[in-house]
Amino acid sequence: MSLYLRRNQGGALPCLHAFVIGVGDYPCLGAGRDRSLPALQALSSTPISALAITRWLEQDYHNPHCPLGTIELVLSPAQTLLNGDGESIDVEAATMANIETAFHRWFQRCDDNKQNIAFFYFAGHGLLRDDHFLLAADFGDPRALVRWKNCINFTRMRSGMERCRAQTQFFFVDACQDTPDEILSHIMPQGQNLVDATLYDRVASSTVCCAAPAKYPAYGIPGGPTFFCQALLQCLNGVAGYRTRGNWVVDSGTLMSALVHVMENLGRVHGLDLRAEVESTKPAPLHYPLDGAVMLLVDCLPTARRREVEISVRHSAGAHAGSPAGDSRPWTHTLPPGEIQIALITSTSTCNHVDRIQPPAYEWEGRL
Amino acid sequence: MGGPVVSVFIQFGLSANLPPVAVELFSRDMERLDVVSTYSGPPRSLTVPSLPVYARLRFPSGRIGPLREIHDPDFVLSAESMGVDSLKKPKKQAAPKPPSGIKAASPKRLLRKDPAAMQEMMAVPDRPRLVWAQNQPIALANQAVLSTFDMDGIIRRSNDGRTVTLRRSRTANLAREPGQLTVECHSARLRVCLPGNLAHIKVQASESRDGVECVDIAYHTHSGWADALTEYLQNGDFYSAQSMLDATDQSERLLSDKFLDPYGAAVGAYFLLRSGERLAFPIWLRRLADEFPSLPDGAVIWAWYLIRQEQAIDEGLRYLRIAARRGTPVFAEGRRLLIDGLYRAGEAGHEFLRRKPDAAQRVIWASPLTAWREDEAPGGGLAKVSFRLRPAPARD
Repeated sequence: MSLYLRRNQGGALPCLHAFVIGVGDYPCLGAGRDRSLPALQALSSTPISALAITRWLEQDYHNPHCPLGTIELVLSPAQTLLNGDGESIDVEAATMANIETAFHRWFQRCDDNKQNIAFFYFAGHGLLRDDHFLLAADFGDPRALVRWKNCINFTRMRSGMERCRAQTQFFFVDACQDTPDEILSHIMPQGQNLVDATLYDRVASSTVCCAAPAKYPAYGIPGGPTFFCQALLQCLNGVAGYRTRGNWVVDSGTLMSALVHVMENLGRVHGLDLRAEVESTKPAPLHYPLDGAVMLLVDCLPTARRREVEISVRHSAGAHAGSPAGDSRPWTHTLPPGEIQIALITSTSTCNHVDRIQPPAYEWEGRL
Repeated sequence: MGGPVVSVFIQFGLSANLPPVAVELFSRDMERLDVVSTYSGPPRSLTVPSLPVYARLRFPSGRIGPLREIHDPDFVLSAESMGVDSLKKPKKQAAPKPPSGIKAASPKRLLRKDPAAMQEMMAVPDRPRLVWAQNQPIALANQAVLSTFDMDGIIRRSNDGRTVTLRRSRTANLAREPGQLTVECHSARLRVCLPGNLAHIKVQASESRDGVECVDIAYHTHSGWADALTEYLQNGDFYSAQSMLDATDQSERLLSDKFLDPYGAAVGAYFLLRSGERLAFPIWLRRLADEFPSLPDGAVIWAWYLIRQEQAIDEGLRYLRIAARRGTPVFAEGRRLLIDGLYRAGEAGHEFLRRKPDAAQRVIWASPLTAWREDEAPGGGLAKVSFRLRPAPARD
């Protein structure tokens, strides 16, 4: 079954209803595939990322105005999991048929109350051919007479979701927007919209965050979560937060800019070109973390001496963090907002810097 | 809660070289108060519970300046006070001297279209070229070629052949016709719609990365605040983008007779559509649709405003059809809204979708300007060439 967790029934009480898809196995796109389709490798990081997002929703999501309602989850490979309520759940495979069924249930729940929040997360392979397509686990099934049957046309799906009464919608797409040579000759592929809308339909706040802009592959760590997932969780846990009326809030406006920052900083740390493509209409709140967080990025010049330097950071609240000499640079760490003192220490000198930090990020490049 | 309420008037000292930038303001308890713009306007005032307040600059490029503590109720914002020296205009670099024995090219001679001088310049490949030309293919390094560049201006190619720039002078009327740039590399072809208020565009062929040729296209227009707004949105900074529009009624002003810039106005209008704001007097949106037929974006914007704010669906659909007949919107958002609107209109819109000339091409959605690839058959283009298109104001 695809209903992983039910916390609140919804109805009169507005809730966040989530639909999480993690596709790692693509058995129809291997060596014996239809030659008109691209060869795409199995992914280890995407099911892990989908699970990480699911766990975050279960354990850390906090919104007193719109608590967690339900989580629909499909994964490939399918697996049995223990949810936060101690129930054993046989999570269904992320085939197109299962995705459609789960989507239908998720839509109905979101449609229940206009103050609901619709939360969609997909991790897997993606293709771009005018529209953005998210591939289900059985994409490329030779039994399908229509080649593009087993994929979501995300461009049309997002537009179609304006039909849903839930006026706050978040879409996180952790997938490439690549256009392999094999699909160049395909004429106007359609995919599955899953839902469509008319000109009479509208939604107040719709936010899309994609792992990579067109033409850049999204990166993942084999056996670990993707960079996009890591960045998203950091942002949700406070890096995208701002303080207002005594509470920390993450809304779509701050989430987008923080996500772009964190992805770029992760790229600098790992030597990769990491980006996020984001777009939103009117901002709306999503999550209320306990505290804000700041992504600290420390580097030093000249670059030839970077690895000689030990980095030490002291926070006004008492926290201490650091990186010994020899570690890679730049160095990154997450701290709460406040005053910090950064020290760059070599065998012959120390360079100190004091400043106040505030989300989302603080970058400092000391000079030896 | 408690303590006296203090009115703090924060004045933005505008030096001549201060670009449009957003200022994020925090209370003493680090609660976010507001995000305001430094763009032209009267001094801003803000009421806060107490002093000090904190401020930091948020640049369109995504860079965030350091926090600065403000104790003085009459604070003057400047590059120095905000700890961001790079806001100062860089000193002009002296032009390199030509090799000895070769006469230096005089720009004045070229501007008079002196054929002899042009011949002399073209014959010496190592010198920077000042070429006054239209529709003349210009070769770049990495097998990239600018095959079409149908706007007037001064085109310059760098010594190493990696960069071509086009610079256009500012005129009082920025409602000039849009143009198009075509760049070819291997068997990949990129077409980019260019707004009529374009000021500068740079096309750069980069070193291969992982076997991929990179062509980077950076541009800015004569509308600095619209460029800033575009760049803020590209970097996901919605609140800073919103501050650009809050500063003055920029979009409406840009359609007045004195400052005619429909392209800048369109950028602002797209943002208004996104934010869902209902205008008290949307007449200037209608002017954008009716008075600038060479800019299909105007009709797209007015169509969606009618659909969303006025619920005038039939009239909105009529303007979507008008936009489709006028051609491809200059801005990518316009193209997306046009296609989405025609799709959602059902059969009434689908006939226009079928007629869309670029239906089979691959649109680059990450670009703020409408851009698409027309690649040859598999084996040539996509795997080998990467195009990137971005707004890049003069300095940050």
